[in-house]
Amino acid sequence: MATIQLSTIRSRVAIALEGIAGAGLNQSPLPFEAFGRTPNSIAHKGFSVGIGGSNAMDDRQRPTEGAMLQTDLDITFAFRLRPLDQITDVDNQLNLENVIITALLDRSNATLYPNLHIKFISSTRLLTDSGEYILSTLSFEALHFIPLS
Amino acid sequence: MAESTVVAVPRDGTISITNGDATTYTVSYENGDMSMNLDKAERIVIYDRATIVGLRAGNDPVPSISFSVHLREFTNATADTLLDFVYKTGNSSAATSTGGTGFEQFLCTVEFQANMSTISGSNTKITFEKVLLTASISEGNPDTISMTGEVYGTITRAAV
Repeated sequence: MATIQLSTIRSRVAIALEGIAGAGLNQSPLPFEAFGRTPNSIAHKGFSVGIGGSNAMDDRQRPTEGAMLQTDLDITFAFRLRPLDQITDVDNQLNLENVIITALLDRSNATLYPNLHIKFISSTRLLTDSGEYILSTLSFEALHFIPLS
Repeated sequence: MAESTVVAVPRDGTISITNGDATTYTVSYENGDMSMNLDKAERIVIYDRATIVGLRAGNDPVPSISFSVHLREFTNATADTLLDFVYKTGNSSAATSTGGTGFEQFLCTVEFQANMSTISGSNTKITFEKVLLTASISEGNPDTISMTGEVYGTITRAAV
């Protein structure tokens, strides 16, 4: 298993999400931690990929092999609820979550998966104070080696 | 020369396995958890009315070693894998044992080297001869091969 940088994992995931046919997902210009400040005009189906904490796994961390890490990978996206059809949009938002999970666990994606394992961990939802958007956060775990040389 | 003051850590370690053809497989993608016991011969204690008055050596021990690696491949017809190398299968199917006359099973030589020379420490190794290696495999995150070795030959320690 060759090494892969954390920044490469983040960008690969973003490309995979934007590449989901018909999903209409667009990467927010703001980082994951500031996703809530995404302008309203581009918030619907806007997403951000966050690289959370990494834990080193047991290995010798040789420069020739890299260091094996288990890295938290979080995706948050916003889904706008139309005022007169909110329940339908709640279902649409849940379906979009499933589409994202399916896309990230598609091991036949030759752009996303080289030298990387991805495991789905959990999902949470939050209604914004205005009631206009649901913010979904999907948590994954990546197993990979980072380069040491 | 005084004893080294540099303490060994998993990054210093390398495990290599050599068969009877002098072909060496260097273990990689491992956990860095090599363990070994260096037992001595069986102890026969001589008592005289419950008081120890002597100690004699009995049967030689069969020391054991163990280490674990991340599972990458069960077998390969054209390149060495750990399992092929110790089970004499795949690319190693024609390998010869290090056991020689009187030793039926396929045996290897296992060497563990701890090289701390880049930080002014020692470069030291221990070699186990006539080792019967077996594997147990478990799924996890990642999958693991746990290797256990029974040592039927000599154990030597040396500077590299």
